[in-house]
Amino acid sequence: MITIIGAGPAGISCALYLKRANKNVQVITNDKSALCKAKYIENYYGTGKIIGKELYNNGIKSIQELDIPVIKDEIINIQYNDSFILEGINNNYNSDIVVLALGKINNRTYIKGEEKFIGKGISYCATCDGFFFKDKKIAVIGNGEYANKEYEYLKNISSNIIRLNNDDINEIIGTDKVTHINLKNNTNVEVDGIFICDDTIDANVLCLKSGILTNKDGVVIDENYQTNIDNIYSCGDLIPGIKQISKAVNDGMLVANIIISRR
Amino acid sequence: MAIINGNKNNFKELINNKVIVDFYADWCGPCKMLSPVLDKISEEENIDIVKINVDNDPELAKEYGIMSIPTIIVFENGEEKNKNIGLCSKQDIKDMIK
Repeated sequence: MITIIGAGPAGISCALYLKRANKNVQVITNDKSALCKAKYIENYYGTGKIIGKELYNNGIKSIQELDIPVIKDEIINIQYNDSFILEGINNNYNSDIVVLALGKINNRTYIKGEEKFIGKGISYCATCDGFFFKDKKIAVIGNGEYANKEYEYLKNISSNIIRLNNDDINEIIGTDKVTHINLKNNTNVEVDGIFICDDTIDANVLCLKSGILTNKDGVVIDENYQTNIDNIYSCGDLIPGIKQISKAVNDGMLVANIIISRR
Repeated sequence: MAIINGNKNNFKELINNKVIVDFYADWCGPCKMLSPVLDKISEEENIDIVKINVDNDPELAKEYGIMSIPTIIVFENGEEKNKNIGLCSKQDIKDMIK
């Protein structure tokens, strides 16, 4: 099974070419493509002026017509034994090959004080770093499904957890490590660890948790669009290069052809 | 050079040489990805890699302020020279030991 994460232009194009070569392929999406937010697309071949969301939906429809499953879920971790296990909010999925087509890496707007304490109390990965906060005071920032999932995990590590939102926080304060959070209502909450979970998992965080190498331009790939992990590929806005639909469609097609020729 | 399994008993002695210390755990996905990169470094560069499993040596992790793994620290003469938190490339590590 080949799993494509993301149903934007790169993911759809990749799925289409794989399926036409008789490959077993599925697409998982959280339906939060940047394309859905584009008011109009006016620079893509053959469509004329089209609403972003409409083009996105057309893409999904085109692969569903080829009987490619399009699953609505958000992948929050990739683990592997012999094959990959994609851990979603709703389900887990097994896959032999993974294509990351998650769209552009967002350079997050840090909470005041956040950047200074990364790795010194601030964490973006409960499974990686929860260990260091056993029975300590933990704050989970965020209220989306992803934050709920991280909270559930951390409950096994400490019984002393508070939940906060970005909007509640004025500043994260500490010395050589985090000591407390100053809230907007001007009270302080003492904490040892802060787990930051935005509403949806950012591509950057998924890569960090899964051990996929990134830099400021996106996911690092080799000449065959493969990441630092064998059998995990990437394409579209997630990799360095121009952020355009036509380029993403081309990337997706190229990745499909690389996978087809390798198998 | 070599990959050495470090622990709290031999650690102080090991970091008297120039070494890269890898704080890791078996359950940590990114650590698994960093491990082969460090293996390559040990083959290509004139430096030992000291592996510290934080499950076995939580005191050492605490002493060096490790709160996120993988973390690698370059030591020389017992002193911390450079530190990187999280996965990084082979070139990043080579730059750290220059």
